[in-house]
Amino acid sequence: MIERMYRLLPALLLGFLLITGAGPITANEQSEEVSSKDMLYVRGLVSKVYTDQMQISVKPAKGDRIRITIDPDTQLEGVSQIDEFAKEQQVKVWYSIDNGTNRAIRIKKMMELGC
Amino acid sequence: MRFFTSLVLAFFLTLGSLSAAAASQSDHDNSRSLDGLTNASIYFDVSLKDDALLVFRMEMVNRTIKSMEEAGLEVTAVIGFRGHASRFITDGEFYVLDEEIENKKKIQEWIRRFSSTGIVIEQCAIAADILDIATDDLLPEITVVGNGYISLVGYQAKGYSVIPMD
Repeated sequence: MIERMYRLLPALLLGFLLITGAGPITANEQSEEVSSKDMLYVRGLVSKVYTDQMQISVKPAKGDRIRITIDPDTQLEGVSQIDEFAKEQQVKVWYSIDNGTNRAIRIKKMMELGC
Repeated sequence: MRFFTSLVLAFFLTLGSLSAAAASQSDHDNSRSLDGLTNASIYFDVSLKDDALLVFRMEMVNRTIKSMEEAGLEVTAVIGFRGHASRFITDGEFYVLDEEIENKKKIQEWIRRFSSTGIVIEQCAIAADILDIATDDLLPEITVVGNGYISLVGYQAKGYSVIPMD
């Protein structure tokens, strides 16, 4: 009986880790897509790319366009450089306002799923 | 002045009747493919993202149904929206770029016209979710379905012909 429990222990431990590990990830994903005191969040369509100014313009579903500045510290996901952004792409942007400039902290290009 | 107005009117009337005559004399029809048919069921699978092209395709949907009805067929049609086309069947000026608003208005108008003639218009809930479109923001003429692909399979199994518009 005890031997059988020992044999099941790795499987039980793995199950425990999976269950406890899934909680914080889900919570993190939900909380990150909102604006906070330090970081603003917007999801929308790329309406224009200003390659020379390192900026993109993002149009949220409801509301005015927002001009976002990309700097070397901006974390890009789904693209590796600014000229890979294109009009009508769906993006999620986390940014902060620095001296009146919307400075991108992270930009995630959404996949074109086609369905 | 009145003479000039009459002259212009007469010119356009003549032009109109000439083009109508030319159209009726056209040898192009679909009599061979439609021979023996009394009804047709069509599923228009719309997933375009280009607003101008989408307006054109709406015109084509209308033209296709109208031509078939003129040929004596009873037409049952469903228009299924998915992909980026979903953005254009929402209410107001939301979900589109500023330069797409004019064409969105035309698409909204087509949706109202189609719906008033009994055409069913469906939106895939998965596509709406992916594009972050609240289903409450869709036009009231739209019926939201769980999965557009399943609808497509279902209608096809019921004998609907699928016309892809991607």
